[in-house]
Amino acid sequence: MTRRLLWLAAVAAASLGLATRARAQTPADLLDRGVRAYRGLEFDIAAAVLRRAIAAAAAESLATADRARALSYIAASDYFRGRRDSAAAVYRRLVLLDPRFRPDPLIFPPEVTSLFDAVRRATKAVAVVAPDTAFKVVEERYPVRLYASSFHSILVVLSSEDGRTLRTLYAGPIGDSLTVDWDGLDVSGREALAGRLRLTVTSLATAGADPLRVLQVPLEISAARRDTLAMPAPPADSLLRPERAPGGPAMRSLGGGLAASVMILALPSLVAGGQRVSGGGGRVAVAGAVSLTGLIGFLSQRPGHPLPENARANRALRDAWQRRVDAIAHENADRRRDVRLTVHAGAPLPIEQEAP
Amino acid sequence: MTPHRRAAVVALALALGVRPPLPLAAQVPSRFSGGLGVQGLHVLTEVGPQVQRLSGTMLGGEGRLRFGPVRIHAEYWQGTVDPDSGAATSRDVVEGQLLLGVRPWAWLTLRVGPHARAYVTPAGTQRWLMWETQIRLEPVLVPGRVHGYLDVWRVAGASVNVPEAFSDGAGGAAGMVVQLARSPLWGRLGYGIERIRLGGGRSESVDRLTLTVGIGRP
Repeated sequence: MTRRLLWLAAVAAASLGLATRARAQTPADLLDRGVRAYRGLEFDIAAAVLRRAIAAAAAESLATADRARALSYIAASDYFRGRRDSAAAVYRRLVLLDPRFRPDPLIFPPEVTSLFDAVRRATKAVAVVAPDTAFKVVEERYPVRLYASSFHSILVVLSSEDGRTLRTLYAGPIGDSLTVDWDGLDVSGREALAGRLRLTVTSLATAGADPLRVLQVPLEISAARRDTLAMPAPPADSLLRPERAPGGPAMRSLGGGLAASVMILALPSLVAGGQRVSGGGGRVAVAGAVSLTGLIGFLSQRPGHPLPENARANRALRDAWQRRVDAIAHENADRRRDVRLTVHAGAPLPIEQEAP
Repeated sequence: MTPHRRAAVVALALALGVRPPLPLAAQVPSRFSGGLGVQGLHVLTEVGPQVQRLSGTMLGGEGRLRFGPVRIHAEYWQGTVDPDSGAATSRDVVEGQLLLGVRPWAWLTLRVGPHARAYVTPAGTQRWLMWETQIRLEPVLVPGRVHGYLDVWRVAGASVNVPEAFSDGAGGAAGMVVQLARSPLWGRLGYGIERIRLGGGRSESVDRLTLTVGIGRP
């Protein structure tokens, strides 16, 4: 019985030991072991362990900073192992991974950092920092921060998913770093861009040369636009006055004058049965004056006669409508420009690398 | 000078004399309109085979109040008519009218009211009180300046202090009203005639030519 218990305890202890060893195989643990080996001047062990850490990092997650740190120790280890070419290759890989990386001069001696600087100057790469943010088109800018490994030429464009160039943001040299601003508009400068776009940064040895490296950042852009106002309808015909006299009022004036005149002349016959009450001279004079006035009214409103007051009123009505149209057109132009873009940037993706 | 010429001269004098300064005119409420005028009056009285013709001039005035579509119209005239021939005596004439009306459209007014007239002679006073129903048409002759008018009325009933009883009566008038440009003044020129018949072959016909100058919106 006692022997059986001892056997189980031994198996349990062995299992625990295996588990501990398994946990020590994580990239982070390997990185720590490699760094300790480097500090103990065990460069062969350091290089081997750190390479295992990098290899394990392909399957497990390892932060870019830790990966860069591992590469820097591998390169330094290789350098001290007398493998300068291998160290340069590792440093080149490090520069492509993180163009902003600089070895700590307190940890690595000058000959190592000098080698790194030489490799960095010869390697053309750019790191892109595209923030997740929202901005107002034209009035504000979307900032794209670029960090270069060394001085070279770059081309920064916004393109659609099918590769069409929608806007060239920058074409020119980059030294240490550069901020490229985008106002949110397309190449015409009138319409805001939205949808699934790509921000492409191409590194060139010289302007116009073949690309050395292309880095793409997927951008998910949504636009919030204000509704535009409807244009007012032109003045209805019913609101417009006739600008030339119609026939109706003129004929009514003439007819009214004649009717009143006839009435005046006929009243003695109609009312008094033809009985002569007065001489009738005054009556005829009144009838003549009324009919003459009716005729004057007819002539002053004769059909087709221009009516300046109506023309002025119509012009004022049309001018007021035109002013409203202009004001709304101006307001709509402002509203079309008043677009707010919300940008979500994905992880940068190198799609083409410099030939070895 | 004939009565009509006399009326024209008196009206012109009235127009020149009573024209108020513009600031005063501006104080006149727009719902009120009133004026003074002169009438050339001819009266034909028939009593059986006897016929009397008289004519003369009357002075007076007219006023009008408007409350929306409602109109109140009043007139007062006073003067003397003299016989054109024969042995008839002159008469003083006093006449007044009060009409209440409604104006459903700008060109049509319906009015009703009493019309009183008195002939004063040394022998006594003959009083006429007539109730009239009237239709007025107002066609525009010159827009904003001149409109005409056509009045037709019937005498629905009358009370006269003579032995004969009222039989029937009717009348009519026509003319025009001129609104002066940029002024509250207006002028009216019109002609009217009416005839009242009483029993026993008696009738009274009155023919008048009116010239009025007023202030306000006619």
